Amino acid sequence: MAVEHISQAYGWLVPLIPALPLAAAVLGLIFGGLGLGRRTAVLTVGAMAASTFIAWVLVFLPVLLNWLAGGSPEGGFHWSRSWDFFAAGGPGEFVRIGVMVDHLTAAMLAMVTLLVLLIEIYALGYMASDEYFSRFHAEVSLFAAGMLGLVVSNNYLTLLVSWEIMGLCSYLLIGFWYFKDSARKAAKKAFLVTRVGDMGMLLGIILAYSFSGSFGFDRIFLWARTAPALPVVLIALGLFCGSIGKSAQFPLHVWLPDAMEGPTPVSALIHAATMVSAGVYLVARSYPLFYGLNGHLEASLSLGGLQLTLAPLTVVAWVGGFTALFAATIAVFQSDIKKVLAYSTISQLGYMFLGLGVGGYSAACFHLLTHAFFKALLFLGSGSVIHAVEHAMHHEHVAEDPQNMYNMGGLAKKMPGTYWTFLIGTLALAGIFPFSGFFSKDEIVLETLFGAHANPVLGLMALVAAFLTAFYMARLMFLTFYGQPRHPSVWEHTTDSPAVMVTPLKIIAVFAALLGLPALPSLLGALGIGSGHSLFEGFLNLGALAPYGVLATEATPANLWLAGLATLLALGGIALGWYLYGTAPGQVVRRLSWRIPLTRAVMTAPKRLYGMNELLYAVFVKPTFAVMGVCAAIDRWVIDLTVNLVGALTVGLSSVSRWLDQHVVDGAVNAAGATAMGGGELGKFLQNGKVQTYAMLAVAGFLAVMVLRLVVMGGA
Amino acid sequence: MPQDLLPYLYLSAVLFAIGLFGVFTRRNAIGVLMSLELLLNAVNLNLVAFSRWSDQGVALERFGGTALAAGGQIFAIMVITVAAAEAAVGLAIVIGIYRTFKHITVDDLDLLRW
Repeated sequence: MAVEHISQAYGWLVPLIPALPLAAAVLGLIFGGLGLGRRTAVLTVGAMAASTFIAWVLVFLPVLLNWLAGGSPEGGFHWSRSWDFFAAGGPGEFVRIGVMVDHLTAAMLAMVTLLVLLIEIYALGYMASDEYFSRFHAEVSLFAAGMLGLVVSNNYLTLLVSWEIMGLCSYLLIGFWYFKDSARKAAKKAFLVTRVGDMGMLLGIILAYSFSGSFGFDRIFLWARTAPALPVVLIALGLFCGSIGKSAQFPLHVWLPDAMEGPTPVSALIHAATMVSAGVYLVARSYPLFYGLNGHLEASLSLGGLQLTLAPLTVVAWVGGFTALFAATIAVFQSDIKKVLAYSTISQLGYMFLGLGVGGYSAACFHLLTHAFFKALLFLGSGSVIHAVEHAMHHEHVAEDPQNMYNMGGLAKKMPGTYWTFLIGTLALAGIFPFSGFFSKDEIVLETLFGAHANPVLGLMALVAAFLTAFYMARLMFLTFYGQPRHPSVWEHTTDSPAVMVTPLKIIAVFAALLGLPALPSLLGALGIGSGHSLFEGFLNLGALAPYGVLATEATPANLWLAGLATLLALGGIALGWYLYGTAPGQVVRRLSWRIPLTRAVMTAPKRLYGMNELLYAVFVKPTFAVMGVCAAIDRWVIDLTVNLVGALTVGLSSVSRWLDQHVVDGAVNAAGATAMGGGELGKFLQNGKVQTYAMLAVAGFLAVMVLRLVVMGGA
Repeated sequence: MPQDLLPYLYLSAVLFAIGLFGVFTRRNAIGVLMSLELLLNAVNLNLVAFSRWSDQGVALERFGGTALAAGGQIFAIMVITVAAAEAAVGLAIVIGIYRTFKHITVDDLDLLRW
């Protein structure tokens, strides 16, 4: 199917991709509330399947095949359509919203729809016995609508709306089991912490609109080509604030580990397929604002003699690089299986920002896609493990934490389906050839060390983080799947999860294993075979950057030495994990190391999460309370006082008015009445009831009339 | 005005004034009725006097010859008849008053007072 033909139909097909899950969410909530219960899943899963079909068959595959056939023009496939939304900005001017499809959108759509669909199918099994089954599926559907809306947006307005829909849904889904106090707290935390970042994003978008007069990507990016550097840099930094919050980068990463309170499919959804990748997607989509025309965009400004140079991509790189290492050290010390994966997600997102920051655009987007698959696989796999262990513990009346890895062990034999898929996810995350993570992570490290904006310090951090990643994943595997079961009776009753859960795992595992292969030509090129260009590189660079005149950097040629080093580090990490957690002498060493004061001191800091929660509390929450205190005082002593003063004045004026009413107006009325009564009192004496008096008065009256007649008309 | 008519009119006026005075001042209801008769007779006298005077041909011209020559006198007889009836009704009322109040002093009959 030719792209030219299909693009004619995009105008109504592309909006359908987010609209279908949105409609399913609304209808699912209504019908779920009407008592249809789990039958609403037909609706939500069906809508998601339809979206997936559109995204794959009608969007992604035509774009991909068209590109592979060499049919794309210079800028790659780029299609966008806008509609007038509402009048603003001047006579005849409208704020326009719309949808777009380019290579980045197509790839994201393919990834998001497929993963959400598989997660929803998985959730059919995972949430089967949950009371709030229909609410869960409706909220997941709404979440998917938010993410898909974000991906197809061609403007920052609908992007922000979709972004906030996801914020809302993360709140709803993390707090899904709202009867748990910890879930409620985690939901609030996720919502409020991301809000801190969203503030900056909103400012960035407002700035972009006020400078360029449009929300549309096209017009903003074209404006940025000729605009002065400072506003562009400020917009970029503002947008990146939103990314820090949504993608859980240091220092706003604290919400993500707590978000594990939600059901495990939600963890996979938020932490792999949708929400956290939205932050990376935002920076990738806004790359022309970050990158400038040919290199790092910088803006200098002097504040009171102090010269500041702002380079957004440098900020992105350092935040990402630091987060990658920082979160990896924490992941090493977590005992909750989902928390390990949570910190791993933070660390891997750090990798993506690092890649974006050093100019490795396609490498970062590549890692975004591969990570989405293998991390969704790992989360769903851990959910399968938790599900099984929880049931077994329930059966055996063991009151232990089913998520704690130290309560597991030896599960490989009991849960083969989960085990094999989980192993693939682990190898992909650890970066073992030929699984997908090896290629994407390798490209990022390569760009960091040898790219156009290479930085050896950041490269070193990335390598150490890669080592730690392999180590904590090995630790997870050895504690969970290998060794001796710690609760033999629970282990006996653990069974593999049903097919509805394991089948999605297997499908995702295929992607997690093979998605790296398009990058193989790059490695082969280093060996002197073929062109030496990763397929991803061309596909992603072409579509997203070229139309805006941004010079896409040529990806750095693969370096076999580096690939070898990375593999060695990964194997070293796995070996260390095996030694410490898989062998008896290693476990002795591990326990002893806690008794040496120096190592204990070094290891306590990450175990306590570096006090980030306390720090954020002191930096954001305490000052907020202080400001609120001042506001309350102002409210009480200024606003309330003014209001009370106005009230008192009103009462005073009213009492004057009342006095006037009582004494002047009422007085006049009363006086009229009193006059009438007094007149009556006087006149009544004429009515003395005596006939003679009346007769006399009649005669007197007659005489008076006669006299009057004589006086007036004269005699005769 | 012919001189021979005037004495009758003066007498009539005096009679009327006496009757009026009586009606206003008598405390006894019978006295009031009697004074009323004086009033009626003063009027009768007037009627007869004017009738006689008008028979002399003056008034006939003024009324176009349509009035009867003895119209005033006939009217006086009418008045006497009505007066008789009036006296009967009046006396019946006085008897009614007496039966109710055991007296006929007009001054004390002020039931319609305020």
